[in-house]
Amino acid sequence: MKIGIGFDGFTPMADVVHIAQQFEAAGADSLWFLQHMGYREAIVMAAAVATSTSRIGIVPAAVSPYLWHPVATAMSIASIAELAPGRVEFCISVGNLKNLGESGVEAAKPVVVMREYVEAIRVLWSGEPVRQEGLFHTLDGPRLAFTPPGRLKIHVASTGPQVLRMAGVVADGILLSGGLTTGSCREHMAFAREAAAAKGSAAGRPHVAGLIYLATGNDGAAARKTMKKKLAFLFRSPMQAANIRSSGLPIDHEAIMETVMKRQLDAAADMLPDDAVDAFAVAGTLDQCKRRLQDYLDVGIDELVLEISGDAAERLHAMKLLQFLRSV
Amino acid sequence: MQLPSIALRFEGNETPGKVIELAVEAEKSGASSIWITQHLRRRDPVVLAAQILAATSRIRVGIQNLTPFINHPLTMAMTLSTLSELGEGRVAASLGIGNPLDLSKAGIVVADGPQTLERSLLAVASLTAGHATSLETSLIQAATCRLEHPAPLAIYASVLSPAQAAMARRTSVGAQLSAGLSLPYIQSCLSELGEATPVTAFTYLCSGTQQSRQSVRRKLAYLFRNDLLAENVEGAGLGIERERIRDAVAAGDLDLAQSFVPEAAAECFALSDGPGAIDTLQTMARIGIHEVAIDLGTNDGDVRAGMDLIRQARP
Repeated sequence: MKIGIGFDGFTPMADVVHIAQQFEAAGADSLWFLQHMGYREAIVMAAAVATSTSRIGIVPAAVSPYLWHPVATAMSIASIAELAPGRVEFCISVGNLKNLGESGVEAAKPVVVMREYVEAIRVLWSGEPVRQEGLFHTLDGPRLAFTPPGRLKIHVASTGPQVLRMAGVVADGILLSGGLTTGSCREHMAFAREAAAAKGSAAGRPHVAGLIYLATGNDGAAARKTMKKKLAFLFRSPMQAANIRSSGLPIDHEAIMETVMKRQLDAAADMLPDDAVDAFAVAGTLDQCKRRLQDYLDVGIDELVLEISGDAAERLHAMKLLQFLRSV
Repeated sequence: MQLPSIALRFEGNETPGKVIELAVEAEKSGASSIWITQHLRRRDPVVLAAQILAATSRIRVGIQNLTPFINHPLTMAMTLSTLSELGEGRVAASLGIGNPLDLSKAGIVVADGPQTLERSLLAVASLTAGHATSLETSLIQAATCRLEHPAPLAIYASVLSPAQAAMARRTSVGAQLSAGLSLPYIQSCLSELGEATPVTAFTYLCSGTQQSRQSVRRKLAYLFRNDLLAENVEGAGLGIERERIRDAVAAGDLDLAQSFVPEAAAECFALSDGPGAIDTLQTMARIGIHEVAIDLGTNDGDVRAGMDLIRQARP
């Protein structure tokens, strides 16, 4: 099993570079940089870290086809791959529907749009011209003047069953959303793997990476409080409804969405019961985290991507969990 | 002797290793900035900028000609703000309409170009300054966006005409004059700017050798595919058949396109190295240009000539 570290755009750039270097030295396999609208940008984070590390995998992630044009995206990822040959992969997702709406973008027909995006980018990386009458993008023969070294893998992040099924057939892998219950993780993996098996996908079983929200520190209670805020932010998405239901916890999803969109994150966090932390994430002291991580390991994820909340010191504290994960 | 600052410009053709080699030498030689242009098929200027910021300590790094027809104002603001934070204030950027030919290949029809550019400029400047921003353009309806971690930076408008210069003045951003403009046309653009407007002019450097002239003519041919440069090209009175150049570039035949650019064009639309270069730079400073960004070309002779010019102009 591979171990990755996720960055969500909330961390200052100087800390991003420092933490990335520390985790590379500690033996982590990959760094995933997740695009959140309005926050620090994933391509810049990935490029900055690519120049300051030497071994670790680099994955710009959660790039939305509704906001990033395929030609520009193909250029960006290929350019990072030149900086870090053999280390770069890529991950796309629809994006948060409410944030897309705020940006004046309607994310219609995501299954087709995501599939077309993957196909267009692969052709662009091959150096050939692309002609595509797509639902969202129409391409009339653009081609890249350079090509990335080697074949770059594309992952799809989603909570939607149809997108996950498409990804199982078209993409190299999937990224399970952060904040999923273990039950949701199993269900989402099955969507992709069963679709791949049914289609006899040439690439075989899709790789499954799972984003795990993690907060730890000497003060376990403080870490759990931090995690509630993180989960409240995640639950701004209507696509989290099924996952929330799977926990069986009494959570007023609508009220949380409304409160987060008013940017009242503390108030939204207070709406979550304490049990939500253990249902959707890994948080507390190191021992509490080890117990909960074991639950996610039992799911059978290929690559555990830890998105660690807190300041730089708390993130480095979480590094101790790497040794635990390597030992199991 | 008043001279403008001298900057370097890359166009995404150079490998990452070459970019770093030249950027480090340019910083040591006293260059003020390195500008990297967004061309829709070449290396991403944002990625190269992150690389240069990591390898240098003083020089300003700019992203040139981001187009709102490919980049949503929110994503531009996110990118530039993150880059500015990484560079601790050493970052600048310009927005332009972009090249209609390249955009059409990417499936984009440029409609309401000037208005879309003006509104996008205002939005990116507002977002990176930390304000909640409403936006409506030919591409986006009723958006309201905000950056959670804004980091301000110098914003410029790419200027290819006097009308675009007037827009730069209206939007209170800097003006960035395209490469390949004749000096009289530059003056007509400058007449539309206020005195306080920061002005960077791009130019190709022609070291005088036959190889260098050929290289500049080829770059001009590629540049002149842009319909927005028609007035500049026709105004030079060299009888250049710009539409044939555009068609040849669209067909991928750069040799043919270059054949429509006469030798005299290198003198008219580029900066000639030699004894006259400093005089020309002095003229540019006198008429209101603060920074000249030179495109070095690819052959070693042109690169040496460019670095020498940077050192000569060092304050």
